[in-house]
Amino acid sequence: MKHQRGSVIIIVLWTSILLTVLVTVMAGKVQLSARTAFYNQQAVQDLAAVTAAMNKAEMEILLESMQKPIDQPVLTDIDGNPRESLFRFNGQPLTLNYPADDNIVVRIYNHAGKINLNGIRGVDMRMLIENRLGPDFDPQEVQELMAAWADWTDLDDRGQINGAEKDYYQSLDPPYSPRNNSELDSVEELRLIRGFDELFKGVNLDAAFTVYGTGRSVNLNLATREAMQLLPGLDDELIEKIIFFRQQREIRNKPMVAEIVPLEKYVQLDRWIGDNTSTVYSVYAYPKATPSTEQDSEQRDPNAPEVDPVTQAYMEIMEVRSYQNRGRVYKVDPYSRLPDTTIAQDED
Amino acid sequence: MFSQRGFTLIEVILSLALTALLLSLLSTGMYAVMNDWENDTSSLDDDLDQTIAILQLERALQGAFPHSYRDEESLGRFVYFKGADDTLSWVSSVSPQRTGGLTAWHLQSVDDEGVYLRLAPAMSDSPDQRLETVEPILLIPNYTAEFAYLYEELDFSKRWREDWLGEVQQSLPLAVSVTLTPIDEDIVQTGPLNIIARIRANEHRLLRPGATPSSGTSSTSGSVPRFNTIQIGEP
Repeated sequence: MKHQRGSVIIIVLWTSILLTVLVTVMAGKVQLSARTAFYNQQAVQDLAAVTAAMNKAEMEILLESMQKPIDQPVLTDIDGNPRESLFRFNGQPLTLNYPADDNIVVRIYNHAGKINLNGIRGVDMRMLIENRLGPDFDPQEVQELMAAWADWTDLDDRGQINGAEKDYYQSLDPPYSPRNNSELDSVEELRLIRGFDELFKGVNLDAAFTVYGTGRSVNLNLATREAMQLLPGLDDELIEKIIFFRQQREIRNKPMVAEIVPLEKYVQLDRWIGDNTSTVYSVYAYPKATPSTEQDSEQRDPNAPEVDPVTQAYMEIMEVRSYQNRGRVYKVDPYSRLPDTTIAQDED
Repeated sequence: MFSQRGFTLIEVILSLALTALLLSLLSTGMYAVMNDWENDTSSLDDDLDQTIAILQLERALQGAFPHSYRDEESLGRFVYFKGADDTLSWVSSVSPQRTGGLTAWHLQSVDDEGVYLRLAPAMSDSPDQRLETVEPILLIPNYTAEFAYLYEELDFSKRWREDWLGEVQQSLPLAVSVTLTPIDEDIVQTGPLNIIARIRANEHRLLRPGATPSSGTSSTSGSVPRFNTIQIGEP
């Protein structure tokens, strides 16, 4: 009789084990759905905050075109000269007049800091290509790229010598037709032209080029790193110098550039730069990266430049002509790639 | 000393019957629980999949881009956007594979099946042909979709219409609404879902809205839509 009574406890034990397993698995499922709901909620909140920041950034640009209030304190550079407030739209993180959410970073890029692709002169395109290919470029390759560019932007379907027209693009997989218009729709279209994808491999085209506006020169006060890297006459060292210089004060005229850039390089650079500004802006907004863990901050060199780890942001390209009209949005990209946002450090 | 007493027949039958009863009760209980669990799990998975699908759709609509192409016959430049009440194709800066460049999206609602999606690179011309060669994916099963397009009337009132042709309007609608209705209420227990995505980039940089060549068909709904709406007055 005693043996048989023992079976009860075994049955009870088995049942409880079974039930525990069931409950654990179910709890896991509930936890998963709760977590999903939590992240969804967070994503919705972030999107709302980013959208709000976008509108405030638009307001900021509108305010920029208004007269400044008389009693507004004037910002000065390290020499005591007043700073041009428009030049803060060079991609630095901004504190807006109508502040965005604490948690959101807003960066605005004026398109005068990018190389304009629409209406670019043939000579300039050739210089860009030659500069990109390096000092020992093959003239044949340059000629082929130039012909492909010319065929892409001219209105007809007649190919030039070594050019690429519809029959070439139709033979690709997937087949497509060339733009056949001097006005490109978007910067990314450059990659569709024969040979250009290879040429600009790894370049963040959106950061380096623009298709908006009519300006032909690049304003070094506003220029992105990506655009400067493509300009003839500039190398990484000079770019860092320029960025460091403009963090302290403005580059007011070409002689000031000539002071930074050695003459033999300046000769090449001269035709590319100007003091123009554009009415077109790329506005980036994204939630701040969560602070790195303590271990990370210990390892980091305290003198190293502060790096923003975020590389992707919500972006809108908008044009604001005056404060009387709201901006016109040309492009919205919720998952856009941020231009290089590293801050330059003094090397000397 | 040792009494070895057997069971009577009745005892044995009774105990067997009781055991069978208990076992069957237990197994039906277990079966019910397992069934429920299975249902929960699969519906949770489905929900997750569908949430992601809907989220992607919403983002893709928000990222709509006024992509222009050249018509081979008329050589005119048109904005690409084709919206009817059960199909929609547009070009967006969002692509699920995160490839560079613009992507053409095509949604088609098929009765009794669900909403099918096709994706193709937008390139520099009309992506229609490329979209046709792509194998459609069943994105949201067991739902039918209905699309509507927001525009602004001359008196600034906002209205929804059932179709929107980019080549006629030369611009994109202010917003797109997607209403997802479950085909069979028994399978899907939620009511209709609604996605409303605002499109910020309505106008092409160069093409003016409404500037259509004579080949364009006349406006389908009676009222004339007013574009350029978010702005306060035209420069």
